[in-house]
Amino acid sequence: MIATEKFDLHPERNPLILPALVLSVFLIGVAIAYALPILDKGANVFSANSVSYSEKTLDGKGVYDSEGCWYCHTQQVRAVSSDVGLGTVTSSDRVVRDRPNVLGIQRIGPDLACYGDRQTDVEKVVAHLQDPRASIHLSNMPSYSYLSETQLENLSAYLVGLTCGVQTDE
Amino acid sequence: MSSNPDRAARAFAFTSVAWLLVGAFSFAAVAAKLVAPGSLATAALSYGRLRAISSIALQYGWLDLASLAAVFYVIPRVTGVRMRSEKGGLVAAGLINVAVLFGAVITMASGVKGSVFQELPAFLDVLIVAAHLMVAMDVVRAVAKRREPRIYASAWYMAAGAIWFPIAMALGNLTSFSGVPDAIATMFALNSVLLLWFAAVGIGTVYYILPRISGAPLYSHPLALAGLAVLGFAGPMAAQGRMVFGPSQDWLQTLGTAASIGLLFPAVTLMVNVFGTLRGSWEHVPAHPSAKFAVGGTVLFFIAILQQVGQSFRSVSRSIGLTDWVDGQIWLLIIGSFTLWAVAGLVYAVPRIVGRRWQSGTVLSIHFWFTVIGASLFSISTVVSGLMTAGAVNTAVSLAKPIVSGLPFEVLLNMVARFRLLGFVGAALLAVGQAVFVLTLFRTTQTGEQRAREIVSVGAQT
Repeated sequence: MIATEKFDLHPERNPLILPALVLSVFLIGVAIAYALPILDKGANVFSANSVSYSEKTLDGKGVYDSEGCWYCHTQQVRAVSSDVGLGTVTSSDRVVRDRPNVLGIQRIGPDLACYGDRQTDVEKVVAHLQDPRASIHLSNMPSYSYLSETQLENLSAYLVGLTCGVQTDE
Repeated sequence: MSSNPDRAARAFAFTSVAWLLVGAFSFAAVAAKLVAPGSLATAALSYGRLRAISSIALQYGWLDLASLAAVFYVIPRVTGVRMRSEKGGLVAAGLINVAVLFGAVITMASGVKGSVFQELPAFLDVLIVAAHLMVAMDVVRAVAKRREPRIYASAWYMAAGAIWFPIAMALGNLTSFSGVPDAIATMFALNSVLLLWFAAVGIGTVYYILPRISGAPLYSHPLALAGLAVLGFAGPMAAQGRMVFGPSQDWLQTLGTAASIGLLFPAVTLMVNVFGTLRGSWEHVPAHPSAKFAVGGTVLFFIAILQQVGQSFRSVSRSIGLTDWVDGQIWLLIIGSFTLWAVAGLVYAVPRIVGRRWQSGTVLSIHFWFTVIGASLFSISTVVSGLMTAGAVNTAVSLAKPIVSGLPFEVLLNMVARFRLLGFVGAALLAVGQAVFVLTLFRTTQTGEQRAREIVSVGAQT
């Protein structure tokens, strides 16, 4: 009769156990906090509320991405009292077309999720991007005068196009 | 057997400090731009591009390469087995340096890839993942074939980090999503890089250095392993604690809060082990700069985790969410805790792999205090500015005059301006401190008093 050797589970005697343990704890976290929410169909639903792009505004979004505007401006209105007046609360369907997302994590400048509801004049936005301190004396936004005229116009068109359909408090 | 051991560790160490300089000075320039937004007003040095460069240089240039230097120094010494391929290590160092260099140049020339703290373009992320897969295989092999009967805590942490990092990096950066899934993947990648790589290697370094300096074994091996298990489990999940009240799933945000609280466990086990191991040996610490850096990094890590727990609570996040507090907590880890740990590793390892003593302990002490004070000032400025913003915004809402933009926002900017100035002072001190360190490191390798190089004693390749 052949004796069956017991599988040794001690990590210091079986070299497979350390990588197996380490991978196991990590992959549980990956499954719960990465795979499940990303594959959730509810997070990928399009609606009439979704931000849509024309060729011009898509190019403007590209400028917004590459200049890192999202470092200082969020595009997410939260259901909290401190966001009162910023516009409609941002839901996942609203931002479903944003690749990369521009939700942001820090507001050094104002939130822009519904910027188009409080500013409709593209020329004023272009002027503000070229010389922020002309209209807001203490603004710490840098000047984007180095952008081409087309880039400035497309960026402004993108920002003005961010409407939520309700007038915000401004 | 390699006739020139530690070549890879030296390559990682010496290239990492070049990126430390780039990262620290671009970080200071970014802080300066918040005070004087008209400075350095060119496309290549715009706020967004400089900020991305500081993030790329500090994370993937400095911390990643310095972490690999620690791994390539420590693993052979705790396993008694040399890394199989020093050449493989050199290739990994080359790949990462190329990725960071191209990342910085591309960012300067054409702008930022839009993901917060994950700014390397995806095709360069491939190089980082490839380099780390090579390292992971080498580390796992060394641990499996070790000549020591025990797997020391430092080996556990470094092997775990080496296994976790390439997978997390690939999941976070080599995938392509939009909207909320993209935000989830970005936060996942951010937290994984911070906690499953920099923190894992940093803690492994602390667990290697302190027992050698104190002459006492690690206070509690089981506690260290329990901390590692919770770090690997809760780390990825805690990422979503930064998205509380955002458009992601409610259950995910609650999970993020719970996991953030869970991170207290590895932070506490680390504190217990550090203070337990040094119990009765504190008089050795001033004479060993690496111990000072290790303890300083540990204290800042504990503070940063407390901050992460705080911001993940809904009751706190409704006020301080999206303020300077959130971004500042991430920077406290990068420029404070992880930088101190990475320096601890270099201060300990460099004399032993180049065969020269540090030229000046005083200069290392100056570097330590510039780093601690600089990181603390920057962190304090973001915390206070975050709290003041929260207070002002909530007061305005209660008066039915919410701050949206325009003049009210200008008043808010004026309120926090002095703290942005304090942040710049902190960032500038930090940059000067790193310059002093790199200069001393360079002079030590050239003219430092000679000492015996430390060669792994039983290190035949297997």
